[in-house]
Amino acid sequence: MTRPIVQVLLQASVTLLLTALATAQQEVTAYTNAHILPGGKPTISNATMVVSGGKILALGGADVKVPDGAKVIDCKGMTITPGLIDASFQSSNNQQDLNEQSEEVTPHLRILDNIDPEDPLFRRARNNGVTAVHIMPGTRNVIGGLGCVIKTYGSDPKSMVIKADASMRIVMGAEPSNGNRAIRGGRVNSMYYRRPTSRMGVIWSVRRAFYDAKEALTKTQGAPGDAPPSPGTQIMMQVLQGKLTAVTTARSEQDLRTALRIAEEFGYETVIDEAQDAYMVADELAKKNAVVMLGAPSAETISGSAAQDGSAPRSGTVAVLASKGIRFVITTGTNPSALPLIREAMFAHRFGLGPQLALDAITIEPAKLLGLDDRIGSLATGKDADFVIWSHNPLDPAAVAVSVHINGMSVSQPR
Amino acid sequence: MTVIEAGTVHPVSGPEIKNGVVVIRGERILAVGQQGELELPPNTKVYKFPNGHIYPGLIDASTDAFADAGLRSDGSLNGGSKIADGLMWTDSRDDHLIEHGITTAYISIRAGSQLRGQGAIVRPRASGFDLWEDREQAALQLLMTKGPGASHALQRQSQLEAIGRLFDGLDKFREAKEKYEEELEKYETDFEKYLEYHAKKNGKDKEKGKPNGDKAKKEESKKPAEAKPKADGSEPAGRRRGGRRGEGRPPRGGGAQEMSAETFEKTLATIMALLGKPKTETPTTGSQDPKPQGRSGDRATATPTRSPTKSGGDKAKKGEGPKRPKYPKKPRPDPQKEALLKVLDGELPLRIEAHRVDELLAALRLQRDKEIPVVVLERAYGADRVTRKIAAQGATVVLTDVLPNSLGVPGDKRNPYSKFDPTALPKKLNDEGIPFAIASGTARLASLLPMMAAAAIGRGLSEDAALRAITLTPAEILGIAKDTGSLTREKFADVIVTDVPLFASDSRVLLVVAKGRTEYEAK
Amino acid sequence: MQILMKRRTTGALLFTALCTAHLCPTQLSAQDVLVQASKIVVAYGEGSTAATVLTDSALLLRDGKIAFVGADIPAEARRAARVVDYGKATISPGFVLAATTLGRDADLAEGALAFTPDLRAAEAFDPWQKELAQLATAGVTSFGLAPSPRNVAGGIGALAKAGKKQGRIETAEAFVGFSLTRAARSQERMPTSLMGALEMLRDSFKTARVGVQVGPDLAVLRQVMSGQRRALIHADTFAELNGALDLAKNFNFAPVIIGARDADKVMAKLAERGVGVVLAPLNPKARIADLELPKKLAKAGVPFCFAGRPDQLRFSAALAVRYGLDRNVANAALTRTPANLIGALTTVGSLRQGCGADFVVFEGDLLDLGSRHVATWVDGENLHGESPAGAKTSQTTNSAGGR
Repeated sequence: MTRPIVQVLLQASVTLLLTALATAQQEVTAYTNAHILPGGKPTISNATMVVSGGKILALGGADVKVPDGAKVIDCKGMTITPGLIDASFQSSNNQQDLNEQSEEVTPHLRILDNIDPEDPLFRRARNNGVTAVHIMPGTRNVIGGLGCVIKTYGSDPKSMVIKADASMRIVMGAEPSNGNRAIRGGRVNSMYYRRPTSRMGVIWSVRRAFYDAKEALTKTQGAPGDAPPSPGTQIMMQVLQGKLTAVTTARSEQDLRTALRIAEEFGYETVIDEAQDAYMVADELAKKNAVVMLGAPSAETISGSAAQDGSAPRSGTVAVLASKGIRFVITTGTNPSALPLIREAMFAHRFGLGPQLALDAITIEPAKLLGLDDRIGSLATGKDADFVIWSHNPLDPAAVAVSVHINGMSVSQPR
Repeated sequence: MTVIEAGTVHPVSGPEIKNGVVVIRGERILAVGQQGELELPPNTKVYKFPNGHIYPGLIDASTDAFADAGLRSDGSLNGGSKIADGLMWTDSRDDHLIEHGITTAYISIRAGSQLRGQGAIVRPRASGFDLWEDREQAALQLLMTKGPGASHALQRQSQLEAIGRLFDGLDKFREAKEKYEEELEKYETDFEKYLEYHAKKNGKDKEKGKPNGDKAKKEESKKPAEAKPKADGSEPAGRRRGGRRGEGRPPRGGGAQEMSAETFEKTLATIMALLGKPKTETPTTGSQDPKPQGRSGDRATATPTRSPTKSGGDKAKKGEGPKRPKYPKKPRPDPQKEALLKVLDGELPLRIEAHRVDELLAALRLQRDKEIPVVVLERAYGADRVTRKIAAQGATVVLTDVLPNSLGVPGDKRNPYSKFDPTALPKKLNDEGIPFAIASGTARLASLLPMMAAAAIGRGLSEDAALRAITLTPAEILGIAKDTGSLTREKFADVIVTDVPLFASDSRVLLVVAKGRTEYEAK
Repeated sequence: MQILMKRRTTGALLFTALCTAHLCPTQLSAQDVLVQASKIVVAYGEGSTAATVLTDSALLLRDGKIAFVGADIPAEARRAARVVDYGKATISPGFVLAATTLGRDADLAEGALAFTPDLRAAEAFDPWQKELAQLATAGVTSFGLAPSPRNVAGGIGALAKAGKKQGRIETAEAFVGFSLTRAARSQERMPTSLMGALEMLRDSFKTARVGVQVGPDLAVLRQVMSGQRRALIHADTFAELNGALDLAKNFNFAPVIIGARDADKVMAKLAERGVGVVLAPLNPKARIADLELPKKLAKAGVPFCFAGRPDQLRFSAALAVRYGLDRNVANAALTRTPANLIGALTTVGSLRQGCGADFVVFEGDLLDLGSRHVATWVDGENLHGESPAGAKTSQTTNSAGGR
């Protein structure tokens, strides 16, 4: 029953890959008889989606007219969702590459410089339905640098970029100070002698950076003859001005509170990342209207190793956040044993999250968070044709991504 | 019939032939000559390569292709291990020897500390390989080196002594084995006598005690009796073979013991039937005569241990005739010692991997002291310093790593092997008249085998000698020169064709015919 | 001109005649040398252009340079010169090793700082270094002494040569060496990551471009941007290569990439921007894709050569040929291309008039390992192998042929 459709899809993907991008984009393709979960909106049964030029031309029930000459792909029994968005994706397993560790505050460094599109991590994400990822520098620096949003398919990072400077990462907790030692005589044979060695020191570094930015901000407004602030301070200024999203990685309850406090102190908005203890501070989060990113909700249940940096993760956190009306996003995050993103949503669903919310948390919610909901994260006329055709409802454990499309092009490998 | 014509034929066994032709019938070469000399019958498959070069199939005298990856790091291997048991085809890049024109290869063992086991000769094929019949165990491998790491002379001395000790106790083992063979022979004759006596007696008893037995039972008792001469007929043959082996050739894999055990079981079944004791068993013996024989082979090892208890049960008949003979005690089987005995008898070459001069000298000393008839020195990097000795003792050499500075940067003091010059070695061995083969050493380098020979040419070796070192000489060293190694009438049709002379860097194999079958054809 | 030359040669001849009795080697070398062979490759062609080959010809060496080639040799000079006859062998330009530290990595990187573009490798050159002795054996006649890849901006590389007793610097300032590889990212100083290394270079180039008064370090970057100096950048992985290429594009220069393990992934960019590549020596046990990289580079039209261990240079080229590389390109990759990539085409890499008298003699094609390496000459001196004296007869016949 499903085999002919799979074959058609495979053939379609092959032809699409073979023909040049330009011609592929001219082509009009209609996906009919599908069960479409458009993201943020109710399900459309027996739906038709028309795709052309890498964008969605039309989307609706069976009444949507298929243009003449369009290639029709019958998706009977299948489910189409928007391409998944992983709002915290690690582009490399090598921590050394993810941070410039000669300084603890490096706001201007770009993780985009260190992306290999052929890294197997991208292929794995793609084959599991992830079409866009938000990549941030690693967690070994207090202020790591600039994150970017890229699609998961392409030969050159430049052509994959959706948003080059999407966020700035701040890290709370003990991780940035791990392994650092105070200078107490002896041979100084490593640069780790001069970095913060404690939580206090970490927060001091954050404060100092923001103070510098604040000062620079007043200066540029006052005296035009001054030397321009350093590239790092310029980025910090953008955060203070609300032009750039700050993402604060804070896991334990104590770090979560600190993250909110610092943000309030300097008057910037921040997304809280890896908020494992969020259930403890749910009321504060709700009050501050903060958006929360949850890394790998499955990890505690599956490997029991999710607790990092003094946190006490609970599998019910997602449900608590949902009940308090806190906006949240599910990611794979920094946990190396994270499951594919769709499975993380599946676990969240299992832990008491409604199916609509679970799916939104990996599609439209991350898109909104990254300020890209006009292009990706949902299926609607005029948006990027990034979508996934699933064999079952994607939250079903049996679901596999039959084919994954980015800009209308099939990019998944045949299974 | 297959015919291959090419611009030049390099038969190795003779001078090169311009516009030559190789005629193949079945799996062997029928003729090698000039085009037009031979009249071709119809229905022949003809390959034509007007600019091509025909060579005999290349022989890699040492490779690790087809060897299970685990074998490369198995420290528990000893002289009894047979690599033929651990070969497999994985279709990896390293298993496609045939595409590089290699039609015969010796699979060498690269693990184990001293005696590493017995390598095998295989014939690579398009998708798989065949073991060379009778060469599943082609040589016993011995490691006589500590590698490039620093080692003290005393350390090496103790290693040599440890290797010498491997040969200890071989005489006793041989004696015990021969004694066992003799006893076995005696036992068999005694048992026969014992049987005959009881058969007669039992026959009398039956006639006496069971006159009213029905027909079927009589037939039952008859059938095994009929079968008996058959079993008798096979017995002496097996015994004789075992006996001969005991004198000169030790049996492969303890075949003699199994055979005698099988015979024993057979005869036992016969007696039981004759005695009419276990009545439940007789019908099966009667109705399906050959089956128990086959099964008995499987149970061969279990039966002899069981027999004494049964003979104990027969004690009552002790006084009436000849004693029930006792099954001789089998010496503890020791495949390593068996292999070493074969080495001493010259049936199995001893391949000694020795690198430095002192290790080579130790290897040669071992050969002299233990009077080992066939010795092959492997990876003999320092052989240029002991050429006289090697030549005098008649050892042969398998060289690997014959590529420019493959053992390190010359002059590197931290690497003691950097002073070796493997590319210069072939010429020096050739000048001294020592037979040597150039081998890839590892399957990853199989495609470079001709380039290795070329590297030796670049250091003064003649082209003919270089070609011989990857064809006929390895065949001689492996003991298969009567079947392959050159384009000669009656040898296996192992023929390859290249587009330009083999030793050019960009030479490409166009066609590989092995044992008369086309195994590879370039697209 | 002609007369002047004659006078000089006769003078030299007289002088040598006087000196031969005392066997004075320094004076002897002042004599012209006529090197003959049945085949002389003056220069290998790059890309599809064929090599310039002379048959039954000769080279006239004077003061360590190629004074005349083939038919241009004046008859008198020919008569006066000492003759070396290589008979049936082939003379080709000596191999050029594009970038090497000759085992002196530590000396060729300033450990305290990662950004040292104005340091000169020539100053760390030890003319008595024993590694120089192996160059001639490997057929290498000149090499780019490069700063080691341990520094992001390592310094200025030199063109150097081995000599009979001691080596010498031919050009002290030939190119600038940069590095983005892991070796350049130390955990002991800045930068520790590729992001940091790229930011460091970007920032410096930006400052060099806009700054009014720049120090000696940034002045070097300006020379790179203006095209006066070649930039050699060590980069292996995709991210490193991509970073290097983007940097070069932003600051408008065409770099040479050293290493380029993942060149396959950025092939189109390399070809489009005229970037050259210096490959590490090929390892015969490497993946097929790595062994076929030279072939793919040649197909894409990317000029490349080999560097690293000198003794593996010829073998690497031969291996590349085994894995599908065109012989012409492989020959160029040993001689002309590296000379070009380090900006030394006028002095080394070919046997044209005025170039250094650096050549190798092989029996047969040097890309076949079966060809014997007969000799290596550097600066008109025989550093390796034999130099058979030519017979009187061949001298006269050749001079006749020369006319």
